Amino acid sequence: MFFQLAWRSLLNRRSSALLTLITIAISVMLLLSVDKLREDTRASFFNTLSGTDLVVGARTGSLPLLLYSVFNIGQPTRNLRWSSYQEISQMEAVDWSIPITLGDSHRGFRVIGTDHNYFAHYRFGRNKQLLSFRAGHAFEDLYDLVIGAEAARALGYELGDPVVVAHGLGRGSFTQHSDKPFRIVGILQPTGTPVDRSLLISLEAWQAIHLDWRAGTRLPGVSISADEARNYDLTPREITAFMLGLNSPLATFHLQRSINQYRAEPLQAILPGVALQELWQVLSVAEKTLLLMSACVVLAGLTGMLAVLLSSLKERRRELAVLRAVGASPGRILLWVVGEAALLTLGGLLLGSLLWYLLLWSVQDTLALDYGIFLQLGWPSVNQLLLLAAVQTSGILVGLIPALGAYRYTLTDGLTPRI
Amino acid sequence: MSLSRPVIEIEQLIFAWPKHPPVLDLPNLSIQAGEQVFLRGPSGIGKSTLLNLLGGLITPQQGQIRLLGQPISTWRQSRRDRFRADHLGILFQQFNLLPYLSLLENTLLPCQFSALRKQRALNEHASLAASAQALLEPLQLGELLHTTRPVTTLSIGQQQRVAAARALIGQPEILLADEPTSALDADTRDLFIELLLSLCRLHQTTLVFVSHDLSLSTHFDRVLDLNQMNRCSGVT
Repeated sequence: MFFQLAWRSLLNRRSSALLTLITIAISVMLLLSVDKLREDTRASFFNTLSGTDLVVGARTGSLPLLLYSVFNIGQPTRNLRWSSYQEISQMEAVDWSIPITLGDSHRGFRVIGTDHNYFAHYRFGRNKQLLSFRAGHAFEDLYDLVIGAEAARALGYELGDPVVVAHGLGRGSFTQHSDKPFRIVGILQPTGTPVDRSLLISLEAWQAIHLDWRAGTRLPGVSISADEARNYDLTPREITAFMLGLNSPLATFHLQRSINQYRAEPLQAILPGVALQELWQVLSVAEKTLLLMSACVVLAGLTGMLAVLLSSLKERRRELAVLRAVGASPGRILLWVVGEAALLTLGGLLLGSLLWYLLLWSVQDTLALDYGIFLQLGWPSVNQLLLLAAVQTSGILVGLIPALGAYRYTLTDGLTPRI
Repeated sequence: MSLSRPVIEIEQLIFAWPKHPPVLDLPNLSIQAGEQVFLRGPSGIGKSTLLNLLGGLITPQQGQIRLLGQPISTWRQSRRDRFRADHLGILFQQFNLLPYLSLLENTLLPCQFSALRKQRALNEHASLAASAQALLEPLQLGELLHTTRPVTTLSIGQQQRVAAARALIGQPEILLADEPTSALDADTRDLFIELLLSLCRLHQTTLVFVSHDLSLSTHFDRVLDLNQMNRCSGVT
């Protein structure tokens, strides 16, 4: 009965109540989205590389090595000798290895020189997936090229399109390997990793396009055509880094130590998980800032509700006096106002969650097809439930402010509301 | 009134708002069942304070108030609230009605808060609606009951009569009216008082009618002048 009365009273103020509800709903939707973004960014970040036990490069620092070898960020300072790679990759503890050579690009996207091991052993994602082809196949001929999903989409490339690799990493590089054009033979499925933004060629091709180059410039007077290059010895002399998969994870630390103490040249082996963790420490500031901002949005929503409840309270002093006269106790009136705030917050939570699911549902195909980010439309996570509970609690606490005001009014006004 | 018993009793009452000197200091006062008392006094003399004391919203610092023989001024607030819901009808100057309830729902509002009054209303009539109708018809509101007009569109005189019906539904023993006619013009005022008094007489309701307008006092059995009763009046 009393609930019905409270409901009618709320309906009487439906426009302001509805506005409050929508404000809270939007802020909740934002909070959930930011949280989802955080979780998925974190997950995809840590899943950039899965199943790789060690990443090896010239001695720099673990972060620079991780950045240029895995994330395609920054410049590799030095390369390492092919012979070192040969020796280490044939060690007993090593199951597989992927060589990587970096330094060239195509229209802002990095070109990676590697071999077939890349397709056989590079794993990413929670399920340790291998790369798969949306179209075509891995490189077979010397001038074949495989392109990542996002790079293909951004550049509008299809199978068979010609690609000229530019020397160096600058977007506006004028020194092109235009004498040795490549042909796209494979387009990868999106992975949600930096591979999407990469172009892959073989180490032999890398060697071929650099036959007539030394130290970053074309040798004057030397010109080797694309077909002539096929007759040369195309064994690479050096590579930038390599990834190792071991037979047993127990060997990891032992191998890491022996690589770090490698005699022939200064090398460094890093554990990708540890390095990712280090990098995430830096990035998590941004993550926390995002969360803080969305918390502020929720706070703004609740403040809006407080403003509406407080201003309506002034108009409701008569209503409260009438209810008091017919026997409503101050405690009941306090409960009523708090209950109203709780109900508005709950409504906002439900509407906000619904909006959020609609948002996820509407973007999930786009994200999966174009970005390789697979959103799961499941029940809210524990973390999200905790966030929602925190919002609900805050709503009730905020509701206590006007409720105590109403309580005070009913005691001081008695039967004669001051208007 | 052959079988009279005191319905309202005040014993040496002193009341002061917190951190203020006393505003009310009353000698013994007794009002019998079915009496219709006109309580007059200029504004600021403590009429509203006395009504709040009688309604059990506040309690005196000294002395006692007994309603229907119960020492309500010694009770906890929740018990006083329940007593008010069961036994008291209250009528304000204006803005008596909840704008989001219909005329009938406004009239039946006390039955939501008091099972006793609901039961009493049902004892005499087949339904709550019939009970409301039995009050609204003598108040000349019977026709309005069948319209869906929002109560806010009623005239002030009509609104006050709906409020009177609400105060009397379920036959409370006591009706406290705080200047219920002050917003009415002369014609509707006399009509309102006549209707109110006849209904109270019919239901044997004890009426305390507060007003500063002495011209209304001719309608009542008994006139009390708060200005003379209150021993604090000289101080303020």
